Amino acid sequence: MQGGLVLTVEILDYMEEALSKFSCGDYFDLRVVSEHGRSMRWENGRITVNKFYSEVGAHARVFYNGFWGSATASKIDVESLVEALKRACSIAKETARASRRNNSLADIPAINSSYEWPVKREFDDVDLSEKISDLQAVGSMVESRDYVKSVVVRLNEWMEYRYIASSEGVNIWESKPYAYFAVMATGRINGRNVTAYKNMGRIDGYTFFDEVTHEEIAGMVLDKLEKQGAAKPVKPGKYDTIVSPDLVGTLIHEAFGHLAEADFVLTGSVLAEYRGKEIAPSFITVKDVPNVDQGFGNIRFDDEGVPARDAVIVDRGVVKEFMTDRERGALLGQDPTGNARAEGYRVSPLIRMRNTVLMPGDWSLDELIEDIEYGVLLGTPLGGEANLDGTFQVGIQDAYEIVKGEVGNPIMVSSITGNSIEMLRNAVGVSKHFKIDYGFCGKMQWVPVSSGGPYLRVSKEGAPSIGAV
Amino acid sequence: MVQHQSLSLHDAVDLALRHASRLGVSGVEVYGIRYKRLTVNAAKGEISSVLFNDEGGIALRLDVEGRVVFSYVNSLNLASIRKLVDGAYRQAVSSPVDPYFKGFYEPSREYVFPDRIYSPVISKRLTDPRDVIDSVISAIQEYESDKFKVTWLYMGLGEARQVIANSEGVYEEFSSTFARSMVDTIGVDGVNRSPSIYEADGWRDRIPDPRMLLEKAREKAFRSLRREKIELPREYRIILTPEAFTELFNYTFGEALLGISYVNRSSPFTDKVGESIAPECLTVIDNPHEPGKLGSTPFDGEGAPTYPKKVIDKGVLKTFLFDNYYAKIAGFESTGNASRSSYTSPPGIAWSNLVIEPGDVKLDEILEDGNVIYVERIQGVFNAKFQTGDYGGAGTPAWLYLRGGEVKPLGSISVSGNIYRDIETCMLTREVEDKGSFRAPYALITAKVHTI
Repeated sequence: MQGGLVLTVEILDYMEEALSKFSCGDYFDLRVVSEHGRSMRWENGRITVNKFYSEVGAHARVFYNGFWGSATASKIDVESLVEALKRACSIAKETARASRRNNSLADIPAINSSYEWPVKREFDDVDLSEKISDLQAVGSMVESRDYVKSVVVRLNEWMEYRYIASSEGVNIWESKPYAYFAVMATGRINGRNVTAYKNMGRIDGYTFFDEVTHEEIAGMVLDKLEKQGAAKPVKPGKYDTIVSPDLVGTLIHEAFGHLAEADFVLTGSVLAEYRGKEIAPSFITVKDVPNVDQGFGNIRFDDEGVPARDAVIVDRGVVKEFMTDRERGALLGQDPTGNARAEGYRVSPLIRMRNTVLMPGDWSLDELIEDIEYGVLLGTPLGGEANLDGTFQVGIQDAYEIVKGEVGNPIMVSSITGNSIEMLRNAVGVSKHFKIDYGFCGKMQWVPVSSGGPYLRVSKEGAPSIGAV
Repeated sequence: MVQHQSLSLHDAVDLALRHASRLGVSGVEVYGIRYKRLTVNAAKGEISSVLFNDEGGIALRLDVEGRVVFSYVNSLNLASIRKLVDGAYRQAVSSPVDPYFKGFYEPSREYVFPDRIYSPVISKRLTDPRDVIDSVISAIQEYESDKFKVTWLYMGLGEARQVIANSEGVYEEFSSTFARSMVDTIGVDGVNRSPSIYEADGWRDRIPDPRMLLEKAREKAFRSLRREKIELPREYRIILTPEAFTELFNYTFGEALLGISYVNRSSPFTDKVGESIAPECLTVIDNPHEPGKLGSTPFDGEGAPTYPKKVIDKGVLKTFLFDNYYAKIAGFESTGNASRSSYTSPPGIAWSNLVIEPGDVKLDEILEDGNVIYVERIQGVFNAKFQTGDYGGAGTPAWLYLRGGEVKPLGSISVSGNIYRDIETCMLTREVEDKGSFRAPYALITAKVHTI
């Protein structure tokens, strides 16, 4: 099996030998990624995508006079790895020729270690027919309603092995399973077109249906469709707002988390001005962490071999630190947080989030909303986009009015726009709930991430603006 | 690990075809690619990374009596390809039958090779990146300042040789190059910050000059440093730049006119071929033969010859865009719109080059007339619902042009509407923008503006 124990020993041996035969610059490393997996899509009664794959490749990096050069190889043998390192060296030298830079890399320990995220149910131990049956069961249940026009159910599962070795003596490998299940449905209710989306992620193998049933998943999707169908218009604008945990996660990731990535901090993020300063009330703590229960962003080591640690971005209302790689850690005078991640072997690591969360408080939802005369509860997001000044735009699947302290009727909200810093600054309270969601973050390359938090109440002044249709 | 000599691309494709045939499959399609790519990223006045990829891969679709499997491998050697085919066969025999699958594309038309899809200059730069690195460094150093921040500059160049073959007799290849540049910037003046200003360009036959993108971005950033308030919420006439208009089109009409939307009946236009679905101002062409443009190819991801086609003609829907699979379900022929974003994914349906024909209004006349908001981009437009045409997002940056010539910078505005309805009063300009994989005019529509 690709990436199994025998292959691991070979890969590490080749990497060690290649590094020993090479020299260039201040630092160089090799990262080999081996991945095998499957994708399936069930669509309106049939399987339309049935994909499986297996690949392995290497990424070589050289740091020369403050500049990086990188090159890849899809053959894993000593000669090919050395060739990739030489190409990376040549590129780094070429870049250094044309420019000057004093950048260095933050020190890290020369760790020799490995970690295998535990697998409760191996993908290969689950018969293909069971997976097809799961897709079909959920899809058919959703499709059974007359008002449903189209249903797509997706399954992605893959096993990833990462090997990192460097000129500084780092020698680590880490293996992890990922599984993702998502349902998207469209329909027409009361003359209105409706869309709903629900996803699940697991990092212990094919265990989706250990804690939830097909009926429950289908039910969540149908419930959202029906609520959209019954939703009444609402005047666009700002209201006292409760942000659901799902949406909190999206906003904390998209509209705030990216501002705290050190490469953006150094090139224009508005958060750079707030280091050490109060940005929100003291009950607001935002972290990017490398380990939460079933976190898609869980890692032990990042793609530079840095042991991953919590990045406490906002600590009780004060901006404390940023997510860094080794280079930006040195520039900011901060220990690297282990946020250097890359999608596969074909691209270089960038500063990426892992599991980005707003920490919960101690309010119940009832307590959070009891004194709201009229407000809104924003439900599940549909995806969003944000800027380095904190402004954002996010699509909304479902939303509800809050009347005299009670959650009421669904309302029509297509999207919201706002500013994440204003939102946190005007936070009124956070609940004791905690929930994470699963997805993929794109920053010219895709990595699996989680995000989440509690219910968050925001006063009208700082709340996102509702763009109803 | 057994290592074998790399095969040539043709030999790898031929091997895959032969090995699959020996297994007695009903059909096989093999897509092979060898490519080189140079990627330069820069920020804060300096280059942050330069990466070179040189690799190849084989992607395979096997049909075993209607059981279809997709798989790929990222190495071109004997052992890997045999393993790929054997593995795909094993998966296929235990997969369900797709009752709608009617075989791979059968050749039926002549191929036309678009002009200017390969540039020896781009090819040379890949192995000798000195000029590329120098041009990025000089551009970023010239423009980066206290008042203008280049948060990101990207330049990507590539060269690829692609082969597609199948058991129905398709066997074609072509070589192409591409070059893309993108910049993300902000203007800063004391406490005033502009919204993010994004510019991009891309071609097959030339390297976009990052200086030109930065020049445009800087001009916009400095014009949008202040933000003024306007009467809200209300409807405004909105003039969308070609980039904003094509993005909105892509996520609404564009998605609705793909064959998958036709077959699934999620498109609001499924039964409207031959009928008016937009005002007469709108004529839209899918043209994969535009010289030098990024979407130009002689054949699609299944080996079907590509050809230009009017999709909407003066508001009348003429055709949907199909690959072979959805075309056969619908009872049509493939329109040559099967697209592969990379060899690691099976083909899907996509537009090639989007061409929206210009109108006869001058942009200056619209702006001089006043009371119109000029919107550079709509962030979040990807959340638009093609089933209904509803869209919402942040129009950023935006300016209000008043009668008499006054221009008020608005920063970002929250804008929403329904494009299928809002475009009914559309006016398209004579001026067009031609870059990347689109050529389109500015578009005047009406939309709701909520907040700044």
